[in-house]
Amino acid sequence: MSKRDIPDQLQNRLDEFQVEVPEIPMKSSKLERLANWIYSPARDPLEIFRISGNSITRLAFYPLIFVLALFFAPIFFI
Amino acid sequence: MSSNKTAASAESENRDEYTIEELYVTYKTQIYQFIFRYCQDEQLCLDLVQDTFVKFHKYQANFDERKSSIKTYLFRIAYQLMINRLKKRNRMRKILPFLYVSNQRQSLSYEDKITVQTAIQQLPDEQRAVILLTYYHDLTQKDISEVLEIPIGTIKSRLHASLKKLKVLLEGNE
Repeated sequence: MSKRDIPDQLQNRLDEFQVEVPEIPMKSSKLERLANWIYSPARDPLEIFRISGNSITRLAFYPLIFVLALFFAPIFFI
Repeated sequence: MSSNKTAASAESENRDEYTIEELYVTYKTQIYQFIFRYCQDEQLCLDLVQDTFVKFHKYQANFDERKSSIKTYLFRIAYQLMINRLKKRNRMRKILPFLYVSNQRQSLSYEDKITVQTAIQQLPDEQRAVILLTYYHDLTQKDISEVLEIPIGTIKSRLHASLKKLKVLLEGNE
């Protein structure tokens, strides 16, 4: 089986996947790669606390909860 | 005498460099497109295209044009590098999941292309490589078997299975 044996309808759909190729320098420095890795988008680590721009109350209460937990934790070790 | 040797060495280096540059201009687009369609990560593609030619330059002596074409050889290097990098990334993703999730989401956000991109992404890895090399790069089954280092019979069965699955995925969305 070759490309010609693929049904036309499927070929039309596959043709939709066009890729634009950016300028690719022949050599790249390790520093540049490190910079690209650091600046690549990543998931928000605060997402697990469900803090968003308008959740000021949560933002204010989390440190309070943390301080209280720190304060009362020694009780469990007595 | 010494200056003659230096000149000859420089000439040889220039010739090699010229060859690599020529190959780079000829094949960088095809290799980029193959890797991008496979993993859909632009930064990874850029790195891998460069690494492919660096590796080729390093192991150029091992290339035997009687065994395979230069295109097949370069695709094999690119494929091996990509598979190794993706394995490494999957291991890292398990350790530090928050670093990678966002990239994956972003890469699938092109609304006009999402159907065919998603369909290709949903194919198992081994089937995806076969369909990409067959359809987008016009490689023969013999060439594909050299790139992926698997028998021709396996290529045929994977191609058949991938076409069947793609048909279901794409027609199911219409």
